[in-house]
Amino acid sequence: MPFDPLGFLTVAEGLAAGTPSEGAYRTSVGRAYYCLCLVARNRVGSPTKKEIKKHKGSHLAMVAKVRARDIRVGSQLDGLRKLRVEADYHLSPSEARYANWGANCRDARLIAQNILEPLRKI
Amino acid sequence: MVSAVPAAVPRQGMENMPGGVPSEATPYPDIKDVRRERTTETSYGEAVGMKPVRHLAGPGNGSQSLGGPVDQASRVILLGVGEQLADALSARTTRAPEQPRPLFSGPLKVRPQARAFLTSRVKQLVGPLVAIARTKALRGAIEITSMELGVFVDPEDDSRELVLEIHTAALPRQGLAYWDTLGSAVNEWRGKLPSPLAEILTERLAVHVTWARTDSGAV
Repeated sequence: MPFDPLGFLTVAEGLAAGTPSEGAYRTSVGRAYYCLCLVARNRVGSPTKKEIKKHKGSHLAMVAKVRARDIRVGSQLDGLRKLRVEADYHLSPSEARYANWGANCRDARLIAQNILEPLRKI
Repeated sequence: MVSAVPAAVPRQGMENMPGGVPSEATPYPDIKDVRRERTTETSYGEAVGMKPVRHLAGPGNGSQSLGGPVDQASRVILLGVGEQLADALSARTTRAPEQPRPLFSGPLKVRPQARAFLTSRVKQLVGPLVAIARTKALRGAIEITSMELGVFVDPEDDSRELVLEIHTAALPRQGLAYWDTLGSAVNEWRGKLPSPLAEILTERLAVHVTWARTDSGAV
C-alpha cells in the first residue's frame, strides 16, 4: 500500500496540539505543506522537467499547475508553501509577521484544512 | 463615516491598462497617499512611470472613462471588472450607515525587487487585480491595511515569484474566507482574459492574503 499523504497532516495536527515548542510548530507547518503538496501531485501530476526549468523549481512548478486549474486553491497552496519555507529555512523571521510560531502553525493548519478537499477533487 | 473619493487619479498611460476600473473609491493602485511617509518602496504608479494627474472627481463620481482607446482585450477584461463594480455598488447601497467603511484607499507599495517583474503585461493585470481585491474586501467588510507587490524567493531552488500581498485586519477565518472569495473572483476573471494574459496571471503573479496575527487564539 502506498503511503497516504494525509498521514502527514495527522502528524502536523499532533505536533500542533502537543507540547508547544518552536521546533514542533515549524515541523507541523512542514508536514502540513507536504501533505497538500503530495495530494496536489496525485491530482495534477508531477511537473515536467520543462515546467520545472520554466519556474526554476519543482515546488513553484507544482503550484503553477494547481493554479492553472483553480487560482483560489493554488494561491492558498502557495501561501502554505511560503510558510513552509519560513519554517524550514529562516531561523530568524524573514518578516516581522512570521515571528509568532504558534500563529504560523495555526495559519498553516487553517489553510491546509481549507483547501484539502477542493485539492482532492481538482 | 463614508470616505470621500480621492482627489488624485492618474490617467496618463492608463489607456492600455485594463486595470482602469471604476470602483467604489480608489480603484487604481497608482493613487499616492500624500500623507504617507516616503520610504524606499514606491507606489505602483511610480514604479510603472505614471504621472498622477489631478482630477476633480466628487463623491460618487467614479465613472470617468479611461481617456483613451480601449482595445478588444481590454473590453473583455473590463466586462469582468464591471461585475465587480456592480458588487461594490450593491454593497454600498445595502450597508448599514453606522457600519464603518472598510475601504482601503492607500497606495500599492512596490518593493524594489519586484520592479524587475513588472513587465508591460504584468502591469496590465495588477490594476484590475487590485480593484477586484478592494471590491471583494468592501463587500465582505474586510479591512485591508496595506497592499504590496513583493517577490517570494524559495531558497531551496532559488525560484522567484511576484506576489501581490493583501494585508488585512481580519481574524484568521475571516481572512481565509476573504481569500476564498477573492480567489473565486480571480478564477472567473481569468476566464475572460485573452490567453496570454491568463497564462501570466496563472504562472507569474501570486495573490496572498494575510490576517491579524494575535496571541489571543481567536480564529
